[in-house]
Amino acid sequence: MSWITVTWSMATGMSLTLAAVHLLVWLRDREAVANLLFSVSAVAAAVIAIQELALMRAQTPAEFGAILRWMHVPAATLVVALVLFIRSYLGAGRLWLAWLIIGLRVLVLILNFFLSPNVTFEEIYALNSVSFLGETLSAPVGDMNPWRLLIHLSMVLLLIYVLDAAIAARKLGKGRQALVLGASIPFAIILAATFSGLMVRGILPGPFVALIYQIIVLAMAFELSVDLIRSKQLSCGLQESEERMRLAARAADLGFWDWDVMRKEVWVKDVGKEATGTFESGHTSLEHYLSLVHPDDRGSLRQAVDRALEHNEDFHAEFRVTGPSGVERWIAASGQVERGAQGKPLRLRGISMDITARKQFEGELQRHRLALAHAQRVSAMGQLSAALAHELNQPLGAILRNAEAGELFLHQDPTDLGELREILVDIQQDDRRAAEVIDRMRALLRHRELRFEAIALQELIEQVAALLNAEMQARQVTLRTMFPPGLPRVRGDRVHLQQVFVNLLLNCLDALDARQNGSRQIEIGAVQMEGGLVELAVKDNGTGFDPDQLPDPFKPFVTTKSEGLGIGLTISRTIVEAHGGRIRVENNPDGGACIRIELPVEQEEGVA
Amino acid sequence: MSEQVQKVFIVDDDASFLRGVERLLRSNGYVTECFSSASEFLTQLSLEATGCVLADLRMPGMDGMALQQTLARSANPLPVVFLTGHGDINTGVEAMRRGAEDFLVKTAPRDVVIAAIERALARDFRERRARIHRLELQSRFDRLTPRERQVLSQVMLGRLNKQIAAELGIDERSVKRHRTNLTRKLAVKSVAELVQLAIEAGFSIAK
Repeated sequence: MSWITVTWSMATGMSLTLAAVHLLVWLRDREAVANLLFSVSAVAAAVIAIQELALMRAQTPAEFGAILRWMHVPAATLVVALVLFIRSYLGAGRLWLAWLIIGLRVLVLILNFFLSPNVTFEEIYALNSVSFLGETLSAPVGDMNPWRLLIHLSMVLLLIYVLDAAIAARKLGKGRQALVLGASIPFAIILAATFSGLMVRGILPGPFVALIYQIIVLAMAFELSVDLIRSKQLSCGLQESEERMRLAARAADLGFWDWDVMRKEVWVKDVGKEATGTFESGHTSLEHYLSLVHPDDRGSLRQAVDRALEHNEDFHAEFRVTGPSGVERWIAASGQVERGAQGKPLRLRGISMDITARKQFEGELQRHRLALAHAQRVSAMGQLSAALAHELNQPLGAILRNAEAGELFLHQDPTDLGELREILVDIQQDDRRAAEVIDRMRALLRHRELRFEAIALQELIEQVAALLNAEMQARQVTLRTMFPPGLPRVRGDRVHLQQVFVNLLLNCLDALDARQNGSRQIEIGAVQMEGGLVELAVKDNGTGFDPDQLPDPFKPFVTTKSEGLGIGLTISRTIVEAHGGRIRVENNPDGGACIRIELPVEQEEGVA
Repeated sequence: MSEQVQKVFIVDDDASFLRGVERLLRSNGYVTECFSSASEFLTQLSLEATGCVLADLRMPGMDGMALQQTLARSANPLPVVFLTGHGDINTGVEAMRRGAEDFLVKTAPRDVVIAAIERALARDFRERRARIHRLELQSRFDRLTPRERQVLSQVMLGRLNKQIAAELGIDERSVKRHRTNLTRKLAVKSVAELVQLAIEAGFSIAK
């Protein structure tokens, strides 16, 4: 076997191997266009090598011409693939120049098949025997085709194109790639032009293109291999960071989830199964996942998902999930939407956390607050006991006197039945009055959780005012209420709101005690606000809040009163905020304090 | 004047209790009159009215304590019995100190209420009689001339006519004439009676 055959076969084999490797890469990852282009160019180089081997062994000028003609096909393919590879791989290169080169090469190819024997030679007279590497090979003798200049032109343009692209790529920070490709390709082009010239002059048996193209193929292969190595390193790093992430997630009891919007599937990573609430990893349908969610939370979860998808907001939701063992857990999930080319949501991806313990704490805290509120109600009731005793003794005294009188009337002759009837009516009335006082007191003292209902504020304030009526009279305070007609009802817990207003009115009364002369007044007014709120203002003309003495009036256990516990306003705020409302304190411009409370309007009424 | 019927004036803003206590007192034979506020009662109260006041302590506007004070300073200081829904010790002590006849809760036993009213009425009768007596004496003493007052003062000091004459720089006969006029105007028969009357009328000795 000759050296020529061995060398050219090796070149073919190498090119095909590299082509196969990178074709495989492209088949796995369709976005790796550079690998595909490389593969094409390597196949072309392999074909050229085989054809060249045949060319050097050609027996007649006609055979030589025919082989050379067909060699232009892989050559053109190689140039086009190279142009596209440069653009795809370096991300640089002038587009018009690229099209010009491709156009020229296609033109050359077309001419090649119209001209005889080919675009390189006008005519091949004979074949010389040339001795090369100890082998006798055929070298052509003939006239050059003038159209060959087009090939030269395309090669010059290719040279410019590659150099220009390499310079641009350098600026893009791809220095090494630019250097390797920008040096090897022009070198190969110049070498090819030289060998081609030598072949045309009959000095070389063939253009030796196969060998030259190996330079380009090797340069491209080197580049792509470096990338392969790098991607391997990257994937190792990625695996490591994923492992770290997994550890961190496990430590923080986090779970990963991924919701495929198109396929409507939920994918849950095996870490923190409990954190995602599925208790098992893997895929599950969205419907199945939602069926695990507590019915009360399904609506809000759906809403959160829709909001994230439609308004491009971050996703966040807290919901309860019941696992297969029937254990209910609280889950907090946050995530982001990943969008496709047209902004179409592809997937919702995020983390989730088991917040059952936190929710339990919150519940406990709420219970403690309610207990404190209850304790405070009892203490407020203690302060009110005198007033309550008065309220209660009023009807009881009336009943007693009427009963005593009735007894005496019975002994009279004749018995005045009309008077007796009136007495009995009065007794019944007073009995009801006493029962009402007791009911109000019991309602206020009852210890229970929040229970929301639609509440007419005016009625509520009137009930509280009735409870405090005796106390207000004793302290010579007048109460004025101003409620606009058509004020919507608010969503609230009657007893707890009553407590808030008892607290506030007791505060007002204490503040008014200091007022020695002039009228002592409390004003309660309400207005409807924007955003489905009603604002209630409780004003007095007492001493007002002293900001120096009481920087934060809502701070617990801080009081300016000698007998106060300092939790009245704290509890009021807790209650108002549990209603989704707001409470704030200010001083009136003309003296005295004003407490403003915002409460949400009952939903159905807000819509109407 | 003592022929005037004794009345129980009930002042309370609680209409129901007002009716109840009015019925009880009426059926016990008392004459009553009801008022729903202190100011209403004060404007309608005549000087000749006799009896006592049964008042609530806590009322809008003028409260029971203020009513008592106003009444005490008036020309017709009727005794007051307080009835209250809830009585704390401080208010009770304060009311008694200011001269209230009694201080009771509204649910107090009937006998206690009736007894308090009885005491108040008796006190009114007693004080009124004393007041009238004092006024009558006062009018008698008002008829004395300045000279007669001087002589009366000397008599009360136990001086003899001769000493009085010397003290006042008049003769003894004039002193005797003044003394005769004195006993006539004051309708007394002896010096002892004269002195007792003068003390009762709160006559002050002129130096």
